[in-house]
Amino acid sequence: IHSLPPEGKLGIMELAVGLTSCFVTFLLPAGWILSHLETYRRPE
Amino acid sequence: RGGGKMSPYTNCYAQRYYPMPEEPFCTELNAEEQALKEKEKGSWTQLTHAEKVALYRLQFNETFAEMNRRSNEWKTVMGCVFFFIGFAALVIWWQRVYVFPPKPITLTDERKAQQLQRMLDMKVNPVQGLASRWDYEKKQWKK
Repeated sequence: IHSLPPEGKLGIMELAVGLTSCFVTFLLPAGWILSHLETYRRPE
Repeated sequence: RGGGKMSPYTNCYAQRYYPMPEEPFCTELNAEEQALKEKEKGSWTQLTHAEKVALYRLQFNETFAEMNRRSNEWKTVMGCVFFFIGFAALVIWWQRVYVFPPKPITLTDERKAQQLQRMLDMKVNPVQGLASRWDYEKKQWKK
Protein backbone atom coordinates (compact mmCIF):
# COMPACT_ATOMS: atom_id res chain seq x y z
CA ILE A 1 0.00 0.00 0.00
CA HIS A 2 1.38 3.37 -1.00
CA SER A 3 0.53 6.54 0.81
CA LEU A 4 2.31 8.87 -1.57
CA PRO A 5 0.98 10.32 -4.81
CA PRO A 6 1.96 8.41 -7.94
CA GLU A 7 5.39 9.16 -9.34
CA GLY A 8 4.35 9.01 -12.95
CA LYS A 9 1.28 10.47 -14.54
CA LEU A 10 -1.75 8.19 -14.46
CA GLY A 11 -3.22 7.16 -17.77
CA ILE A 12 -6.89 7.32 -18.60
CA MET A 13 -7.14 3.54 -18.41
CA GLU A 14 -5.54 3.33 -14.97
CA LEU A 15 -7.81 6.10 -13.73
CA ALA A 16 -10.89 4.40 -15.12
CA VAL A 17 -10.01 1.01 -13.65
CA GLY A 18 -9.14 2.46 -10.25
CA LEU A 19 -12.22 4.63 -9.99
CA THR A 20 -14.54 1.90 -11.21
CA SER A 21 -13.18 -0.65 -8.76
CA CYS A 22 -13.49 1.86 -5.92
CA PHE A 23 -17.08 2.67 -6.82
CA VAL A 24 -18.00 -0.96 -7.31
CA THR A 25 -16.54 -2.09 -3.99
CA PHE A 26 -18.30 0.67 -2.12
CA LEU A 27 -21.62 0.81 -3.90
CA LEU A 28 -22.38 -2.77 -4.87
CA PRO A 29 -22.62 -4.32 -1.38
CA ALA A 30 -24.51 -1.30 -0.06
CA GLY A 31 -26.81 -1.39 -3.06
CA TRP A 32 -27.41 -5.10 -2.66
CA ILE A 33 -28.51 -4.62 0.93
CA LEU A 34 -30.64 -1.60 0.10
CA SER A 35 -32.44 -3.33 -2.73
CA HIS A 36 -33.15 -6.37 -0.52
CA LEU A 37 -34.34 -4.43 2.51
CA GLU A 38 -37.83 -5.89 2.26
CA THR A 39 -36.58 -9.46 2.47
CA TYR A 40 -34.67 -8.74 5.68
CA ARG A 41 -37.79 -7.60 7.46
CA ARG A 42 -39.26 -10.04 9.95
CA PRO A 43 -42.73 -11.09 8.87
CA GLU A 44 -45.26 -9.60 11.20
CA ARG B 1 19.49 19.36 -15.09
CA GLY B 2 20.87 16.80 -12.74
CA GLY B 3 19.02 13.74 -11.66
CA GLY B 4 17.36 13.27 -8.33
CA LYS B 5 13.87 12.23 -7.54
CA MET B 6 11.25 14.88 -7.26
CA SER B 7 8.29 14.14 -5.09
CA PRO B 8 5.83 16.80 -3.96
CA TYR B 9 6.49 15.95 -0.31
CA THR B 10 10.24 16.44 -0.25
CA ASN B 11 11.63 19.74 0.89
CA CYS B 12 13.27 20.51 -2.42
CA TYR B 13 9.97 21.46 -3.97
CA ALA B 14 9.61 25.22 -4.04
CA GLN B 15 6.12 26.64 -3.94
CA ARG B 16 4.79 30.14 -4.15
CA TYR B 17 4.10 30.07 -0.43
CA TYR B 18 7.33 28.19 0.31
CA PRO B 19 9.89 29.75 -2.00
CA MET B 20 13.13 28.81 -0.25
CA PRO B 21 13.22 25.07 0.45
CA GLU B 22 16.03 23.67 2.58
CA GLU B 23 17.24 21.22 -0.02
CA PRO B 24 18.27 22.23 -3.52
CA PHE B 25 16.25 20.80 -6.37
CA CYS B 26 19.18 18.76 -7.73
CA THR B 27 21.25 16.93 -5.16
CA GLU B 28 23.25 14.56 -7.34
CA LEU B 29 25.51 16.76 -9.44
CA ASN B 30 27.70 15.63 -12.31
CA ALA B 31 31.26 16.89 -12.77
CA GLU B 32 30.26 19.91 -14.82
CA GLU B 33 27.67 20.98 -12.30
CA GLN B 34 30.15 20.44 -9.46
CA ALA B 35 32.55 22.80 -11.21
CA LEU B 36 29.80 25.34 -11.61
CA LYS B 37 28.99 25.08 -7.91
CA GLU B 38 32.67 25.72 -7.11
CA LYS B 39 32.67 28.74 -9.38
CA GLU B 40 29.57 30.02 -7.60
CA LYS B 41 31.60 30.37 -4.40
CA GLY B 42 33.71 33.08 -6.07
CA SER B 43 32.52 36.44 -7.23
CA TRP B 44 29.18 36.28 -8.96
CA THR B 45 30.23 38.98 -11.41
CA GLN B 46 32.42 36.36 -13.04
CA LEU B 47 29.39 34.21 -13.89
CA THR B 48 27.79 34.45 -17.28
CA HIS B 49 24.04 34.75 -17.65
CA ALA B 50 23.70 31.15 -18.78
CA GLU B 51 25.67 29.97 -15.76
CA LYS B 52 23.44 31.95 -13.43
CA VAL B 53 20.40 30.38 -15.01
CA ALA B 54 21.99 26.94 -14.71
CA LEU B 55 22.71 27.56 -11.03
CA TYR B 56 19.15 28.70 -10.50
CA ARG B 57 17.88 25.56 -12.17
CA LEU B 58 20.07 23.44 -9.91
CA GLN B 59 18.62 25.13 -6.85
CA PHE B 60 14.99 25.53 -7.85
CA ASN B 61 12.46 23.49 -9.70
CA GLU B 62 10.52 26.35 -11.23
CA THR B 63 10.77 30.10 -11.57
CA PHE B 64 8.03 32.28 -10.17
CA ALA B 65 6.82 33.05 -13.67
CA GLU B 66 6.48 29.32 -14.29
CA MET B 67 4.70 28.79 -10.99
CA ASN B 68 2.30 31.66 -11.66
CA ARG B 69 1.36 30.78 -15.20
CA ARG B 70 -2.29 30.08 -15.83
CA SER B 71 -3.32 26.51 -16.26
CA ASN B 72 -6.47 24.93 -17.55
CA GLU B 73 -6.72 22.58 -14.62
CA TRP B 74 -9.92 24.23 -13.44
CA LYS B 75 -11.66 22.77 -16.47
CA THR B 76 -10.73 19.27 -15.36
CA VAL B 77 -11.81 20.04 -11.82
CA MET B 78 -15.17 21.41 -12.87
CA GLY B 79 -15.65 18.50 -15.25
CA CYS B 80 -15.03 16.04 -12.42
CA VAL B 81 -17.37 17.96 -10.13
CA PHE B 82 -20.20 17.83 -12.63
CA PHE B 83 -19.46 14.22 -13.47
CA PHE B 84 -19.80 13.17 -9.86
CA ILE B 85 -22.92 15.27 -9.36
CA GLY B 86 -24.41 13.43 -12.31
CA PHE B 87 -23.26 10.13 -10.89
CA ALA B 88 -24.91 10.92 -7.56
CA ALA B 89 -28.10 11.72 -9.46
CA LEU B 90 -27.92 8.29 -11.09
CA VAL B 91 -27.51 6.66 -7.67
CA ILE B 92 -30.54 8.55 -6.36
CA TRP B 93 -32.57 7.55 -9.41
CA TRP B 94 -31.63 3.92 -8.81
CA GLN B 95 -32.71 4.24 -5.18
CA ARG B 96 -36.06 5.70 -6.17
CA VAL B 97 -36.66 2.74 -8.42
CA TYR B 98 -35.30 -0.16 -6.35
CA VAL B 99 -35.09 0.97 -2.73
CA PHE B 100 -37.81 3.42 -1.82
CA PRO B 101 -41.11 1.91 -0.74
CA PRO B 102 -44.18 2.89 -2.74
CA LYS B 103 -45.60 6.27 -1.91
CA PRO B 104 -48.17 6.41 0.86
CA ILE B 105 -51.70 6.48 -0.52
CA THR B 106 -52.22 9.96 0.92
CA LEU B 107 -49.86 11.25 -1.75
CA THR B 108 -51.92 9.95 -4.67
CA ASP B 109 -53.71 12.56 -6.76
CA GLU B 110 -57.09 11.24 -5.74
CA ARG B 111 -56.39 11.51 -2.02
CA LYS B 112 -54.84 14.95 -2.43
CA ALA B 113 -57.95 16.15 -4.25
CA GLN B 114 -60.11 14.74 -1.49
CA GLN B 115 -58.00 16.47 1.12
CA LEU B 116 -58.27 19.78 -0.68
CA GLN B 117 -62.02 19.38 -0.92
CA ARG B 118 -62.18 18.66 2.80
CA MET B 119 -60.17 21.80 3.56
CA LEU B 120 -62.50 23.87 1.40
CA ASP B 121 -65.53 22.33 3.12
CA MET B 122 -64.08 23.30 6.48
CA LYS B 123 -63.43 26.82 5.17
CA VAL B 124 -59.76 26.73 6.12
CA ASN B 125 -58.26 30.22 6.52
CA PRO B 126 -61.17 32.18 5.08
CA VAL B 127 -59.72 35.69 5.41
CA GLN B 128 -56.41 35.61 3.56
CA GLY B 129 -55.74 31.96 2.80
CA LEU B 130 -57.11 28.99 0.97
CA ALA B 131 -60.86 29.39 1.43
CA SER B 132 -60.72 33.10 0.63
CA ARG B 133 -59.50 32.24 -2.86
CA TRP B 134 -62.28 29.72 -3.55
CA ASP B 135 -65.55 30.86 -5.04
CA TYR B 136 -68.14 28.71 -3.23
CA GLU B 137 -70.97 29.70 -5.55
CA LYS B 138 -69.33 29.00 -8.89
CA LYS B 139 -67.25 26.15 -7.38
CA GLN B 140 -64.00 27.35 -8.85
CA TRP B 141 -60.98 29.41 -7.88
CA LYS B 142 -61.54 33.12 -7.85
CA LYS B 143 -59.96 34.87 -10.78
